[in-house]
Amino acid sequence: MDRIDMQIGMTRLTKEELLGVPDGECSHSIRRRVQAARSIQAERYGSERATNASAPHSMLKVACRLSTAAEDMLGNAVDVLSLTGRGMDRILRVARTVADLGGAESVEEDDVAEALSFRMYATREEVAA
Amino acid sequence: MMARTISRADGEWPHHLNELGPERPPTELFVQGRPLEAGSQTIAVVGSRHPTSAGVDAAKRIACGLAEANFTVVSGLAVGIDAVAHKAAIEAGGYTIAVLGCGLDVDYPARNTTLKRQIANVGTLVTEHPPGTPPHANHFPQRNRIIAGLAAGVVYVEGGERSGGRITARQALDANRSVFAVPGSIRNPLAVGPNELIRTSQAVLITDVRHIFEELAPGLVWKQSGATHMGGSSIPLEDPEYRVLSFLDDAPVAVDRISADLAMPVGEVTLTLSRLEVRGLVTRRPSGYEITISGARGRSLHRATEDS
Repeated sequence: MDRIDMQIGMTRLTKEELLGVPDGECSHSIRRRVQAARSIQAERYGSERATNASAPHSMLKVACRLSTAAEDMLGNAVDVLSLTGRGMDRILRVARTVADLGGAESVEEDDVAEALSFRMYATREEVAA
Repeated sequence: MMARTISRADGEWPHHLNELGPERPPTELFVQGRPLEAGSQTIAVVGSRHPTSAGVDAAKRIACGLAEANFTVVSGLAVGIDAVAHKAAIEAGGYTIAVLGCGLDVDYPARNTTLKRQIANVGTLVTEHPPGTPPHANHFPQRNRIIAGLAAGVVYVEGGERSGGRITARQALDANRSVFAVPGSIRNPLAVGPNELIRTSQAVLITDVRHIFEELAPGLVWKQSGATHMGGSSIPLEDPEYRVLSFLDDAPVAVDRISADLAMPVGEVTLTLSRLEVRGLVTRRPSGYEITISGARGRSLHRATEDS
């Protein structure tokens, strides 16, 4: 579980939702967006199969250039959420991917916020020390 | 800070303790930290060593509220509710007393060693056991009677049928103290202790720290010192942040529900929650997000400035 990059919570669907007409984006257009993001990454890392997830740590700093606001937010997250080095690394990679999916050059505050919302839940209930 | 021994003749002796009856008060106490001050404005917060997150939250709120109203929080330095209560009191800038079931120099429980040191600095450690005494199981009911003796009332947060908290509550009743219990769900085994005390009219049901003040001094209007405690440092909240914060409760709420009820797109809700989380105003749980104490404070301050 420690190495899983993203996790999201889901609520149970009601029977109306399950039986009703599906709404939301169709897989086809999502596929196109993912392909576009993939090619941005391939170009960035100079290898067809390279992704933000697999890129070597050394390239990350240059690849994930943060805006000042994004950097502030990440800094706060490290303090308040006690992120580890690995945890922060993961946030960076996910934030970069969010920005790529939007076709954005630099990583903005909202990208970091979104990446933070995908982070692992605390596995242990927060109980007294 | 220096450890010292005090007896009944000393000025520092808490006379409140003598109310435990002719034979039961200790004859001397080993004390470390700030001068021991206990009396009508001292409340014990006790409960389970393995609380649920709801119990932790209740203990935090109550201890924080007590400290903000300049009340002293006394507890037993155990893991769980005790530790939460001590910490919340310290964080709110209040004074807290920890009563140990062993010698002052024995670090028990080991997990609370840092907290114990902190209390030795900003609060007071108290025990009736001389240095070097190990924590025997039979010391704890004895320790509980001192907790009850030092306090004007005991708040019982969570505990099973035969918990230490229940013993403390019993001893508090014997010493003519008020007993308060925070109720819980009938499906929560740790709510059995408090619920049973309420059912049998041995404890007053409380859901807010103000209920304690009302019980101790009915009719008196207790001023909330929250605003001064914050030093006027109101937390700037943008509109979506305030709307999301207003919607949250101390039970986790799923992102989908927030989104549906506030008619705010899921993406915006998620981003807003992340921003709030990074500022320590909400916490994330497997089933959703809940508001933290600072979040609740920020929200009420925001509301106050909006109104004025």
